[in-house]
Amino acid sequence: MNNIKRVPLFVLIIVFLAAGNISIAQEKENRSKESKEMNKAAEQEKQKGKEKVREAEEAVEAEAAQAGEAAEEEAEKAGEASEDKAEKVKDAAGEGKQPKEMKEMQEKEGDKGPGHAYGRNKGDLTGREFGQARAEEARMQQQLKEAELDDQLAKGEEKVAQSRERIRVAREELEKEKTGRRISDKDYQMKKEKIDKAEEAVNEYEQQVRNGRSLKSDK
Amino acid sequence: MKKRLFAIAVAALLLSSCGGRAAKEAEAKALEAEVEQIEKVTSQIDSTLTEIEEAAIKLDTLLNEL
Repeated sequence: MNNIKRVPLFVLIIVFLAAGNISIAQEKENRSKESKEMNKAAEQEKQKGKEKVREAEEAVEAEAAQAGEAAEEEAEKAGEASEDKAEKVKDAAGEGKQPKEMKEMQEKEGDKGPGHAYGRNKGDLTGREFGQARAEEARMQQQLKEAELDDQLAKGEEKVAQSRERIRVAREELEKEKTGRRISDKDYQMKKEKIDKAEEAVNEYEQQVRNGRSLKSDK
Repeated sequence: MKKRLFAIAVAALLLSSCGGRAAKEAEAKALEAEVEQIEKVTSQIDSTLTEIEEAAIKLDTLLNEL
């Protein structure tokens, strides 16, 4: 009789335990589903981002090649006297465009600062979804920046070599002018100072590129 | 005996309903830490890029003056 009285209590305990386990299992299932969906969406976004970067790079390369060709033609026409000038045009055409274009592309894509993600669209997402979306956005942002850094480093090394060559030529010409007494002492000093300053700027630029390399290798 | 069983039942219910919360919190914290780390690296890359760009502009200006 006593045992029969206890049966409903046992049943109650079993029901509680079962209910708890079922709810946990359902939660886990939902979580894995959500996670799969989020990963899928994130992968798609990542692919899109990569494609955009690739397209932008191709467009910039084509533009740079065209500009480079035009500069070469101009340089040939101008002959030896304007050789230095043509080089400047070529440099200007080949360099400094990519960062601008990359920036424009990122702005279009919604390149926001690290702090801007907080709270965005949180109204539509649960806390967990929001956290995952934020993490994914941060990862994508990092990938974009890494790609940009790679590009800058590759161009940077080339630019350093070109700049050093230009400085060497300018220095040689200045010394020739001085030897041939085609330049006053005052002008010589002025030009020499400019060349020295340009050399300092190359050293500074090279140091920044090195910093970028070490940052990349540290990661 | 009845009371004891009832207490066990209540404890079981509480355990089963609150067990997931700690795991959720730990997961959220880990995610937050990961995001912070990623954002730190991104910020470093970004500032390096800015410095490189600034140095390039300065260099171009000085080279054009030659």
